[in-house]
This record gives sequence, C-alpha cells and structure tokens, in this order.
Amino acid sequence: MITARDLTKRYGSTTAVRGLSFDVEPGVVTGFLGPNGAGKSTTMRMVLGLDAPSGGSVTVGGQAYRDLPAPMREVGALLDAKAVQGARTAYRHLQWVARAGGIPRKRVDEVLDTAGLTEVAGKKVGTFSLGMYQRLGIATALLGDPPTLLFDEPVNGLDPEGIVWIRTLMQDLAAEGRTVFVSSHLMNEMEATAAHVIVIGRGELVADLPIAEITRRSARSHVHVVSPRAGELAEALERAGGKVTKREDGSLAVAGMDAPKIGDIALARRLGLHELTPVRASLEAAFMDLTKDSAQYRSPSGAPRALAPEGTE
Amino acid sequence: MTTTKTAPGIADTLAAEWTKLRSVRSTWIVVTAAAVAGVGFSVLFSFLTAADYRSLPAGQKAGFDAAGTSMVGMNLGLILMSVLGALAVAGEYSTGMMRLTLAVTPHRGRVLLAKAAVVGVLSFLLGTLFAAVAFGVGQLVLGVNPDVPTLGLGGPGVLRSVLGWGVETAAFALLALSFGVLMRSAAGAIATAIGFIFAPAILGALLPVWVRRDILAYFPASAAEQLSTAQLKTDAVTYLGPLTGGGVLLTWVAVALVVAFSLMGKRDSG
Repeated sequence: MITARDLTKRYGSTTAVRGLSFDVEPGVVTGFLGPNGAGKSTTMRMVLGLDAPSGGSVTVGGQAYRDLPAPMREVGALLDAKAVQGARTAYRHLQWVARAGGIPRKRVDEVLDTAGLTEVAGKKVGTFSLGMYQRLGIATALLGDPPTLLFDEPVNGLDPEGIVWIRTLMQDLAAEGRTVFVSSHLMNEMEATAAHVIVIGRGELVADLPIAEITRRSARSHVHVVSPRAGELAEALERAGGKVTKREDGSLAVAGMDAPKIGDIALARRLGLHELTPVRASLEAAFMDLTKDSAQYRSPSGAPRALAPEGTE
Repeated sequence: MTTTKTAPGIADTLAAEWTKLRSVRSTWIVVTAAAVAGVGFSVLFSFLTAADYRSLPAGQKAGFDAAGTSMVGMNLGLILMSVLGALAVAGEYSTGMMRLTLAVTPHRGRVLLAKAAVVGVLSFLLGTLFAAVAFGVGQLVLGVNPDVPTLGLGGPGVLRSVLGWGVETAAFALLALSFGVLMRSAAGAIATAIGFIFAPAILGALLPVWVRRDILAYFPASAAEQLSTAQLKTDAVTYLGPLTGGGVLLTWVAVALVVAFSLMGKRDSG
C-alpha cells in the first residue's frame, strides 16, 4: 500500500509534481501513466526517499521510506535499469545489494533463476543487452521478497518474449497480494497488465480509476451501427440524446448511448439492424483524450466531445 | 514476504561496500599501479643513489636521508591510491547506481561512513605495506654500496615514517573520496586531490616566507610530511612536528568528510 497526500516537488521555479494524492492498493497491478515529463519518475523517487518532497507526504505501509528499518524487505524497486556499474558481474552486483539489505545469499541464486539470468550470472553487466539490464533490475527488486514493488518503465527495451514474461510476473506478484505500481507511457502495455490506473499530466492527477472505467468514459467509445434505414435511425437516436456520426460507408457511430438502448429504439421504430457493436476506445486513445483535456474527467457532467471520423479503434 | 525481518546494520553496509570495491577490476589495477609506482620507483631511486653516491655533494652525504631515499616513490603511490578513493564514490554517481545504494540503505551517513571505512582501512594497510617493502628493499639496494649509511626498521623515525605513509595514503584517499561526493565526478575529484598534494611544493617556492609558514604549512600535504618523513627538517619554515602535523591532517580529513556528509544528506538522490 502506497499512500501519497498532497505530494509536491518543486525544482527552483518549476513544479514537477503538484498536490498529488492517491492510494496504490495491494492485490492488483496499478499502472502509473503519463506522458514523458509528467512527473512519474520524480514521484517514484519520492516514494523511495531519494528525493525529498517540497510539500505533502508519501508513505509505504504507513511509514515514510527513510524510516523503514529494513527497506529492501518492504519495497523492491526498479528505477533505471541501466544505472548500474558495468564492471561487476551480475552475481557480484546482486551480492552487494543483498549484503547491504541484510538478505541471505541464497536469495541471489533464487532471483537470478526467476529473472532467467542464471546462465549469465558470471558475465559483466556492461556486456548485457537492455533487456538483460531490465531483468537484472527486476531480480534486484525481488531480492528482499517485498510486499510492495515499484517498476519505472520496466518493458523498455524488452523483446516480445520479455514483455510477456514481465506482464505475467507482475500479475503473479499482484495475485500473491502484493502492491505492484508500474509506470509507463505505453498505454497499450498497461491495458494488458494493469487493473487500475493513476494518470498524471504536468505533475497533476488526471484520473485515478479502474482501467475499464477509463475506456468506458472515453469520448471515443461508441457503438457501431449498420441499418438499411440509417437516416431515419440516426434521427431517432439523436432525438433520444445520442451523438451520431455518419460514416462514408453508410454506417453510424453512436456515442453517449449504449447498445441495448439503441436496439430498443430501433425496435420501437421498427427499423432493421444489421450490426450493433459496442466499440471500446483503446486505453491509448482514452489516454490521449485525458492528457489533452484533463478537465474533462474532473467534470464528468461535461458534454462529450465530438467523435473523430477516423476514430474507429 | 518473509516473516523474519531483521534490520540491516552498519556491518551489512560495510560488507556491501567491501564487496563493491573488490568486485571491480579497476580497484586492483589501481592498487597494482600504486605498488609498482610506490615500491618500484623507490627501489629505482635507491639504486641510482647507491650507484652515484660518490658524486653527491658533501652536505647531502653528511646528513644522508637513507629512509627518505628508499621511500621517495610513495609520493606517486599516494596519488594512485587517492584515485581509488575518488572512484569508490564518483563511479556510483556517474552511472546513477548511487540511487540503488541509497534506496537499499536510506541512512546516508551510514553509507558514507562505510565507504570511508573501507577505503580508509584498505589504503592505510596498503600504504603501510608499500612503504615497508620500499624501505626494506631500498635499504638492501643502498647497502650494495658500502659507503652508503643504511638504516634498520629501528632507526630514528623509521617506524613513524612507514606508518606515516600509511596514514598519509589513507588521508588523501579519504580527501579524494570526499571530493568525489562534493563534485560527483571522478576526474574533478582526482584533479582536486592532486592539486592539494602538490600545491605546497609548487607554490612554496614562489610565495613569501610568512605565507609558507602560516598558511602552506597547514595544507594537507605539508602537514602529512611531518608524519611520513623520517628525518625531520626542524629548521624548515613549514615545520610543524609529527603530532601537530598529524592533527592538522586528520582535521582536514574530518572537515572534508563532514562537508561531504552534510551535502549528501541534503541533496536529492544523494
């Protein structure tokens, strides 16, 4: 459980993080989304006690990180996988971390195995590919078998096999009841991994919602409708409050109204339906909407935005 | 999610820092270079002195410094060992690994203390060892020429000089380590440490006597000389005596470490 309250970080006259409040709950993977420069890494460094907040607080399991007696056993983190001295072997690297954290040496072999690095344990880290650096960083985070895990952009540089591996790993860790907090600017990756997302833009909280809720609320979610009498149906739907866009192929994209309601209206008017398909916006698209116009989700009563003609996801 | 949660202590941090230091090849390259320079150059100088003793001026022969001659290369060994001090911290800043170190051990004072202890003890032991070897071999080499007066370990000031080299080596390694924290750059820290080592010798010749007596004498290198020189030059303007010199040197190291500690505690990401 990570708890941020009014967390703020200023560097001189620029504010990197502004009044951020959120809870990261155990048991699910929580995505931490935002464009580059939104303040994700700064927030993670504050969680780990590396950077001191200018205001507010952040705690892990109710305690400030710097007050944890055995931090490695409480929180495991992967910040920047390449921020490692390359002259040491992977084994020696994990060995010093284990020693510093008061972790038994046998854990080194265990995490090397978990991360699939056993074969290269004796190789110098400097010879590693970016994907292997990521695996080493994850092995380091797992050393203390901690109930809370932080990963900053963990899939960067991983091959497809590696991406599947880390996705499964994070979901397994969450299923064991751990708190898993993962930052990314790759929205589609989060869609496949996270159950909940915290979105920030320019250092401020934009959304803190289950992932399904974000895509459902996106203006780009709509219902794809094909009817032989599309003109009449569009009129009826608009009268009932739907937002209808006519496509070139004669189909309709209906927003602001769910599929059952459209079906009921069509039935009441005795208008035939050939297709009635809910189209959920991808998280990618929803995210673009969110960060483009962050005010929208703070006033959900606001009018939904016009559907882009090419907006079929 | 283990149930036994033992908090790591200073012993764990020391063990981790020692693991770090010994697990990179650069440490042993620097140590080897320091041995070659400190011992090798001393022996070479002893050999040349023994071969050319006859042509030395009478004044130098009268007050011949056999101990100093046999350990003259330690000045080079010292520089190389201070490189080790700078690398021990600057390497972590330049790669960003310091963030991992501080996430694992958020107690920054403990991290600095462990680094200083590991570097300080290693450089004291090696400095003493190199000086002892240089002295032993140097006296043998000087003794090949029967005209040259040689010394044993029990000779006047010899033991203090050998241990003094250990202290001086550790002191400069720790100064370089502190500069490494201050500047977060190996090159800057090494350059500053070398500047401190040579400043009195270079500036001394150019500056008026009062500056040398009242200011330069208290620079770390001239203070350290009071410990590491067997044959003390009591008439030199920079003369402080071994006790005062040692105290001045330790004060420099303590101040540098305290400044490094306060900066490390305040800075984001150390």
